[in-house]
Amino acid sequence: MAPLNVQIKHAGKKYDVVLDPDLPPLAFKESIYQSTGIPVDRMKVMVKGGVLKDDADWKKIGPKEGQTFMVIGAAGELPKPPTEPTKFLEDMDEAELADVLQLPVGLVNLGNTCYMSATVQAMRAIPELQVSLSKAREMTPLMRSVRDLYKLMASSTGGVLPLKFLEALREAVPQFAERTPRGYSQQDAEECWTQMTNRLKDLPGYSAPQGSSAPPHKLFVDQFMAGTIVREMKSIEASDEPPSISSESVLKIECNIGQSTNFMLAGIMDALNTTVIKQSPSLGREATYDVRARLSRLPTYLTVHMVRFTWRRDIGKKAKIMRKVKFPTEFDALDITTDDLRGKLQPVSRRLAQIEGERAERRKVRKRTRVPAASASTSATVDGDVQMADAEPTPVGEDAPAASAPSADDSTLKPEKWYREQERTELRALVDSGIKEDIGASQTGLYDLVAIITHKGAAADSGHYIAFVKKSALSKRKSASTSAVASTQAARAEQYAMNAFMDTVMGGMTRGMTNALSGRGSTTTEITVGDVQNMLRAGRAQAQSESSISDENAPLETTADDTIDDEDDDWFKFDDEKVSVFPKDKLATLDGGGEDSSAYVLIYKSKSV
Amino acid sequence: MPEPTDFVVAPVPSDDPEKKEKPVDQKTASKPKPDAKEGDEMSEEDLQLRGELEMLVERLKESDISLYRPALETLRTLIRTSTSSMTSVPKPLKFLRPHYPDLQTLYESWPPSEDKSLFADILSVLAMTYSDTEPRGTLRYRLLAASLRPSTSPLADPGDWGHEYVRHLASELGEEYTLREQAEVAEAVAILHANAAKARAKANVEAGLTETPEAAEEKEKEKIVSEDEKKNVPLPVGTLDDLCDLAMVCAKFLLGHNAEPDAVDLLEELEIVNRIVELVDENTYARVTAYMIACVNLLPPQDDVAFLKTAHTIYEQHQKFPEALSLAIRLNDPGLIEKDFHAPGNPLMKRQLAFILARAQVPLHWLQLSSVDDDGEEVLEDLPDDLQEILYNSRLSTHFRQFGKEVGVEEAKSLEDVYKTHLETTRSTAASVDSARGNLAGTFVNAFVNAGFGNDKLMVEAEEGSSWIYKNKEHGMLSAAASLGVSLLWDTDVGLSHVDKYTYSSEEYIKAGALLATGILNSGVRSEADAALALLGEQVTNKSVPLKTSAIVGLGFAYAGSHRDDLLNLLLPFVSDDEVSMEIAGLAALSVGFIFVGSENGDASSVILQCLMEREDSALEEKWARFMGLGLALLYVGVQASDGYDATIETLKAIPHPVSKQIQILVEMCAFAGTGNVLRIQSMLQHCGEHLNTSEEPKEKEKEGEKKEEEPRVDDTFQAFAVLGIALVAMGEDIGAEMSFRQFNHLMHYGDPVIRKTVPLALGLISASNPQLPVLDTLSKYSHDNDLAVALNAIFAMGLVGAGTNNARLAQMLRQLAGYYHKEPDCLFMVRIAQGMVHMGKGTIGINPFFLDRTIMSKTAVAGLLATLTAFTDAKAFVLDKYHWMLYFLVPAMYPRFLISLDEELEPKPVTVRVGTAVDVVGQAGKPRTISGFQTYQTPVRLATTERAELATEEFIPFASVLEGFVLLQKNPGWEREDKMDI
Repeated sequence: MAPLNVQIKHAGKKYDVVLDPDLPPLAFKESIYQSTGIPVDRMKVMVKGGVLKDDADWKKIGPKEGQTFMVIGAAGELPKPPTEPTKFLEDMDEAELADVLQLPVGLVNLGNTCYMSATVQAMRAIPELQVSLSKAREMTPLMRSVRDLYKLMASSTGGVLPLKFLEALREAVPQFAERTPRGYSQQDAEECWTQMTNRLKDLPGYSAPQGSSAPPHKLFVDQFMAGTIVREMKSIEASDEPPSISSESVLKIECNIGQSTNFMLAGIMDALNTTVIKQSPSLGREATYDVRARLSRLPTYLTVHMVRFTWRRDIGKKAKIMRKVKFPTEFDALDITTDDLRGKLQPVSRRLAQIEGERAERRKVRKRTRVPAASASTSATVDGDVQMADAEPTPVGEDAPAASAPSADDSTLKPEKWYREQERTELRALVDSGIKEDIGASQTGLYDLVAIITHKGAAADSGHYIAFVKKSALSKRKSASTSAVASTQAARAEQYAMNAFMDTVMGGMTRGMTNALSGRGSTTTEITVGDVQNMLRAGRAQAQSESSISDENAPLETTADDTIDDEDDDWFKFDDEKVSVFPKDKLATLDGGGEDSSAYVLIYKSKSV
Repeated sequence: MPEPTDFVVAPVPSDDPEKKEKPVDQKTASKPKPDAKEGDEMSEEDLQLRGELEMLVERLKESDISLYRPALETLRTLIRTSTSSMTSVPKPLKFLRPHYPDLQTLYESWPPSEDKSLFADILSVLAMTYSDTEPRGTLRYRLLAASLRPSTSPLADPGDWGHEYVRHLASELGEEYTLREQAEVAEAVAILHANAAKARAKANVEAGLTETPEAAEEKEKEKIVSEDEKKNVPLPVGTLDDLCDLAMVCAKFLLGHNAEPDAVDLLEELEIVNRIVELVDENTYARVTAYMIACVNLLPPQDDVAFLKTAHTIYEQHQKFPEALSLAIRLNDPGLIEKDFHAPGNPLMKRQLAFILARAQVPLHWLQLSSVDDDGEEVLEDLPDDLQEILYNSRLSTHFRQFGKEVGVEEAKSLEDVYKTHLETTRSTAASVDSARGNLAGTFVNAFVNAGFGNDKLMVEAEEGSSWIYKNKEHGMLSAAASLGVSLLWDTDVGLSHVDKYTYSSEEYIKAGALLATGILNSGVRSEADAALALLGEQVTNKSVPLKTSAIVGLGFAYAGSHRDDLLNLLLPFVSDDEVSMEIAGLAALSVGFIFVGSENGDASSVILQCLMEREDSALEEKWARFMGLGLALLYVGVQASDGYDATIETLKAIPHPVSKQIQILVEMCAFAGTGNVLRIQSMLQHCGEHLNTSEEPKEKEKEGEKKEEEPRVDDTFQAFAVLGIALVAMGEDIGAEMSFRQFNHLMHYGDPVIRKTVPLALGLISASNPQLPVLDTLSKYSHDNDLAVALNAIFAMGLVGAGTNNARLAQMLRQLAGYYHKEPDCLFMVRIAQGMVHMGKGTIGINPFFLDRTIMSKTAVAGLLATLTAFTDAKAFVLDKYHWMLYFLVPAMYPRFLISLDEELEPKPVTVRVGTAVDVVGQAGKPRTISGFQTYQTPVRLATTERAELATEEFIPFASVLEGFVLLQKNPGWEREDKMDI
């Protein structure tokens, strides 16, 4: 037969092809390949009664001149599966789930150790502490154990057993090793906080920048956690007697809860302004003195102790004051400073308060404008904004941006970073030079609440401690994960050892933990505590050798940059090994006034400039 | 002059109470002296008339025969010419009423003559006033008049006596006919009774008993009854044929006087509605057929078919081809469809008919004329190319995409565009990780939302290697690959090649998904190359279960409604083979059901029945049995009570396994789908009323736990289908559907869990793509039900109700539900699916099975919907398990809800149309507007389920009767622009 001119139809297009019925169908396919580019082995040609087979007989099919064949098949590459299979939420176990949900780890209760867990978690809200710990050369066993614990917590995902740390703590502070016939006794979290800060006193702090006049080699706690209180004692009766002034370093300020205390500030003032009776040198007798204590130095981290436990003489017992005392999430400490310090802080703090208002304004505008625009288009708008910023260059460091920044015009809003940059330079200029050189001192006098330790229960000797930590206060897991890659092995070794330990020693004491980890529980049963420690040590050594301390020079001020959108920050609730997200608006439930969790120790962090 | 005693004899009429107190004695013969009361009413003129009438009556009583004729003629003229107000009795009738009994006796005394016939005629009219005491007098004298008339003179037209007389006559005709019908039956019964009475009497005699008081009493009673019944005895005059002839005369008169419904009703009563064809003319046929079609839903079986057939004949007679064809489709009569399709000579009209047939998915071989070829075998002739292209739906995809462009929705929508999570009430914990469940929902949402456009970002336009498929797990990959088919729906040119790529995948599930996609994208579209069969046919025998089932189901999708025998041979072996699993057998049966939907195919049904009889009990208890049953039931969609249906039901009854009950219900509900048959709804309700497991519970509790385990729960799945059955039978008929809502409400209150969880589905079925507020509110309520199964189905039903409507209120409700159920993965999954369905085809594709002004039910659409809902009767086992691909069963029901006007070259032709809510204008006087609250658009436009379009100008004449889907237009030669008129 003579070759036929036929048509083929493929993907909506038609091609003219020559079909020679004397040649096998493969030849026809080859000619289709020439015009369409579909590989022959993936080509399907539709003929009457099915797909054209390579061994088919043209006579049976009977092609006609001008007939149209439908051709199915795709030219080019086949769709490839992605190199890495997708991992799904449903496939993950709890540990992995916590990882992706970015929940920080909890600490397993080792028997009445909730006070310790709460304290350790609250102290995690001080990232500078961890930096200092990782840099320190000479350390006490407690410091080392704290450092290791934090590192372990950063790299693991399940609940952590703070065995080593507890051991070190009990060794350093024997009172925590106190036992009752039923096990270790209940302890006070505030006590624990104080003791721990005391024991960390020798930790070297941040060194001052080169060329400054500040004394070098200050200690961390003195830098970041201790304030200086100036006490002015004045006799009421002898007005001509010169007031005696003394100053001391304090690690916390107390908030006395009296009959009429409703607000934290009132309680603090109550504790700062007292009267004492003492021997008057001028009068020569006992006289009443007014003591007016004020802070002359504000540390970055201000600890407020709600004095909820008092010794009640009438019943001869420690009792808890259940009274509801409201605490602010933003605390202005200028009320409790000396006049001198207030003078230095006021310009910054006022301006900062103004700026915060502007930020809120901008956030609102952004929220309004962002919603209609799809998230995909952000890259485009950013480009546009940058151009706009270029078009009107503003001299950095001058007053101009302050006036132009909060413009009401929505459309001309610049990227938040740009504003922040402006604000930072402006505020930096306002900071008092003396304070600037004092590392770790608050530069603004304005504080954000970052962590709370709460006590639950009616009695002083019983109940439960829970820590609440602000999400943004915890160091970002992103940075942790980089080091986690290196230290996973170590962590795993440690985890493994712990599981073994759990199985053998702890038994039923650890409630949820066993459930979480039982899936990969070890079968080794004859492991002594010594073994565990050996294993821990081995794992740790490995970890150290593998991971150089990554965040050696972690900059202190990164947090402000990274979290530009800092609204609506949630909190974490650390109830031993149970960690959950705690909405910010429920913080007010921790005010007290009942048996439920009420704030006991509050940790405020100074706003940075 | 009347005797005073006449008044005593004459019963007092009810319609004229004044006369009651008329003192008899005061009336004197010479001078009618009305009493005070009457004097008020009666004017001089009336008095004169009365005098004249009384004189005429007197004359008839006299013996002078020669005077009779003129007297009767005068009487007739007086009666005919009397005009009166609408509300009162005409004066002559009123005055003659007292003489009626007299005249009756007089009439009897006359010998038969032409005069007597005339007399009877007059008496017939007078009898109207006596109808309360003497039933059907009018008819009786009418018949007598006819019988007395000599054959030479034609029967006087009853219309001469006026409209009221004809109506009266018509109503009496109906009564009389029914009585005669009953009498026939009663006669038979009476004979039986008589025999029984004899037997009893005999027994009494034998027992030596005299009549007991009781018996006497009985007799008394019988007497009373018989006296009562006297009125209901059929008249002794005239035959049935006479009645019919008379009815025809009346109907003709009624038709001529704008009373088409009365005419139809009369003929219906006499069961000769088919003869109306002789009577209708150019002016009346449209209204007659409209009324008849509107009646169909309310008629008992057989009559409804008779109505449709008659209406069809009328349309045929008046060359209304689209209308006739639509009725032929409704009748599901291949012969009629073929005849109608080939009837018109105009090729354009043929094309229009082809569009209608393509929408209805009529099997092609019905349309092909057969001829005998050289070998003496019957060969089907090929249709002309242009018609074939239309019937194949080949250009549906092109037109749909063009339509999408015109209405501005061609851009692909992302998942976020649909979910709008920023409007949801709860903040989602921003997890960067993929949730398999979430992605699976995303697969379906993406498929449904971008259906038919072939440009979605996740699947079709995805970059190489980063296809969404791989963001799913196992069976999820199957569904994801299959979603390509939905996205490329109807696009056989590009789609097949696109899907083909995935058939080379190493992953079995992706391969299987690609097969399913091939089937899906061919849904509703045919091609000469028969690619779907070529590609899927060989995979049917594949060893891998996913590949095999996908190929089987794919064939079902691709050839739904095609009635192709070659596929029967391919699929039936899987049903009949005892070795294959129930899953394969069930799905094969379902595919057969899809392909042969409504065909009553004997081979298919016998094989499935055989399988049901022979399979082990354990196999029938599997969840797949319901799909086998559905496959069988689909064969009978819309056939009503046919022989095949009866045989099947009887066979099913013989199957001892309880599954047979479930299948009986399925078959019954499918057979009567969309008919609104009240009896069927009642029988379905009866099934729902049974409380199977609850009644036994108290007993079981007493018996202790051990025994409880021994007694298995009664299988109550059939109740679920009974609930769906109510909806299926009631849908398509507005009043029935509305009534069923209340029934569902009761079921929700008092039903067992299995019923409660199906009610939302039934609601979804009955108002698919028709989001009316009450339904939305009800479903919204159910979606918060304590029973999660109810809530889940309610959420899905919300999707069904809103499918393709973009309904903003529904979208808001679903967003709120997404927040409410953010911790219930199953419910959240369903919320997402429902959201996707609401925006189906970006608001251009609906799933309502009714089309052409909601008159024709698409069988394939019903099959698709039912299959989906069947999967939801046990959502946990199918959709929420591994068989989520069953959501694609909706595809056969998906069709763009557009109106595209085409010119003579089949190119889109923009014209202005008015679109508004459809108004029922059947039986209304004059030319009422058919739409209300309309807005004016340029075609193409989208139409909601309850909307209707009409051309805004008369510039073009549409070929189609209903502006929906594809409509061909022709320039109106007589049209002039309005602005020209001004000059």
